[in-house]
Amino acid sequence: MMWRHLIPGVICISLTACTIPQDSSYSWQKATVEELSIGVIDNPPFAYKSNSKWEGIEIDLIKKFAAMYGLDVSFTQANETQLFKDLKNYKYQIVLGGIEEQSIWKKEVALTLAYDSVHVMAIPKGENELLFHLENYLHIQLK
Amino acid sequence: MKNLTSFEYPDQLQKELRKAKKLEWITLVYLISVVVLMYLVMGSSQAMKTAWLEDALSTLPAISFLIAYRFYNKKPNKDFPYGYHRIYGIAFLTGSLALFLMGSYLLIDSSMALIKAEKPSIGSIFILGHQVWMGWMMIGVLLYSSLPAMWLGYRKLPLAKKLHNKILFTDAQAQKADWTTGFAAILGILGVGLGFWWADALAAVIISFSVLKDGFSNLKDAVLELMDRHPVTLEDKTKDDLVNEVAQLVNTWDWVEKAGVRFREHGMVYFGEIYIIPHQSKKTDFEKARNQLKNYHWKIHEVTLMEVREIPDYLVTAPNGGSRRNN
Repeated sequence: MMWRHLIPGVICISLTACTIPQDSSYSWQKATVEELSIGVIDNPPFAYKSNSKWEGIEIDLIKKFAAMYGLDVSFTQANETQLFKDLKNYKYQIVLGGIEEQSIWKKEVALTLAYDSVHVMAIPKGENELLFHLENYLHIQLK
Repeated sequence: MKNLTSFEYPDQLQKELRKAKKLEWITLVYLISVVVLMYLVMGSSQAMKTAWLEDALSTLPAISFLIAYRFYNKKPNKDFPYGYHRIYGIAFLTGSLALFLMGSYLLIDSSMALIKAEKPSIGSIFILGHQVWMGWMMIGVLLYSSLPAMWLGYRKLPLAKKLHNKILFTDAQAQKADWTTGFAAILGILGVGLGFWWADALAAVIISFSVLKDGFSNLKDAVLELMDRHPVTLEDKTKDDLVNEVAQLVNTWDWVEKAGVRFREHGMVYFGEIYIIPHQSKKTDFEKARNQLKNYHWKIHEVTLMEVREIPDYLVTAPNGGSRRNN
């Protein structure tokens, strides 16, 4: 009897499984429809300006990520405190620039896996679809 | 007065007690594996954290039972002239207090998570190069934490009733209902997966309520037992009819004019007194009475018989005519 009740639940979960995880504030959807907004901490060699263009290890990584999904990217520079404050308010989808796994911000934002076993990127909390795609990409870079 | 010896269950219940002990060992090992696995996958989910603490706490009844099992039937001595039966009551009290306090903490913690709109981020794990969302791992662990627990609960419940063992009973009941907390946490995780951040904190609040409710009712029960209330049945907490039966049995003795009895629970067994106003014309026979009580029911462990001139009205008395039971 109990199994009969479980069947609709199992079907439901199976149907929605492909669309899980999703964001609570549509960050990934915004990135695909509008653009991928990146907040940048000027911190060579991870992210720095050279001849008024953004360069660095993490800038390259994120450009490749955007290219993989066909996303437009915009970079905005500010101080760290302002960037994290804006990230929490969903002004950016990602903040990067040599952030370490043990960052003081780790309780306030979500951090990705470390692409080089130390450095991570920050995204707003609860944005699990964006995190899913970003971690998938960063994992490939790890190999 | 009945001699205080080390308590032994009747033969048929000895087997059940050994079975219960074995099941509590299995429970303990199983719960430790659940707690470790949950810790590994819980991430920042509030529902997982709450379910994890609940599972960690649910090791307490099993530990209490196994510790109390070592002491409860030690012989009375000059330091502990009533024996060691109350060890079950103490273990039950400490376990329920822990459950109650943790339930309160979890409820506040989960409500704060809901009020502060803390959104859980659940990352991924890579298994053989394949990306798996950690939420699925959490759901797998939650199923592992619920289904075997339910089976253990169903196995322990009849044993607890037969043995009149409160720790075993509450442990079995909590485990039998464990699927509800597991299910709530699973819905919380699925909710997060579908973008509803509040589902996680809401599931945590529901789980906290269930911990708090269990903690409160167990604590109340433990305190009432230590207050020496009239013995009650495990299941519906109604007054155990055994006390009435003893009162009726005493009334069948022809040398008894009027009698009143009272009993209190010491762990699994009852201790009590029988106040008797004997017939003036008949010879009292305390020795026969003692033997009859000794063999009446295994729960009646120690009875003091005393001759009095008046029966206090708070004692259980019975009209003439008695009944017997054979278990």
